[in-house]
Amino acid sequence: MLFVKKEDSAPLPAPPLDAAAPAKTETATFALG
Amino acid sequence: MSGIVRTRVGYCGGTRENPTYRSLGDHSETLQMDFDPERLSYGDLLEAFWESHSPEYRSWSRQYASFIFFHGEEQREAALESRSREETRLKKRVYTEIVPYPVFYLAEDYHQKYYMRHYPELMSDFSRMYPDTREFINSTAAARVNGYAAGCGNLARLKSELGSFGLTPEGNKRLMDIVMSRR
Repeated sequence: MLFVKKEDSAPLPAPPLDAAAPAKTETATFALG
Repeated sequence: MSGIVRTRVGYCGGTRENPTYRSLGDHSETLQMDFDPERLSYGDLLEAFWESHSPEYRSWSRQYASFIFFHGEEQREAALESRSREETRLKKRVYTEIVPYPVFYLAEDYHQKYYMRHYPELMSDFSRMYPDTREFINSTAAARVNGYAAGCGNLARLKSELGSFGLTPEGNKRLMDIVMSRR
């Protein structure tokens, strides 16, 4: 559960950056010690 | 890094099914990312990987071991070449293991976007954008804001992209304050 202040719980639109996410991606996986 | 689309932390490389932080078994703490190959190469990520830790020291535990989990032959070859280059550069043995990607177990919510969680104003904004935690974890904007919260990036870069994060004016101010406070 994320932190939410009761008085500020009105929804916000998704970030423009997320709407612009590329459809095609590749995946990388690392353990950094 | 620009070109990273999604980030998530979890557990990988071990045999225990459905590990948790308290019951990790033989898994290692792992970072997984989706990246845009048009903007970023796997080689770029490997360079960042070597710069982010000290692979010449053998880990005392499997939890904190250094691994490259390759996805496909192309990544395997790139990883082997880069490890060889790193050993030449360091003039030391590197203990990073390069193994096929097995299965990745997503860590508990409280580990995701960990640095941002120190700032209630930012978390409040994202919780209003993404009531579903899974969508929050997959948000590019959340990954970038978490990076700034962790100490990456600089003020000029933040100003150039702040409007794309979808934060409230209060959230924008908080993030600017975070970055300006470390100048």
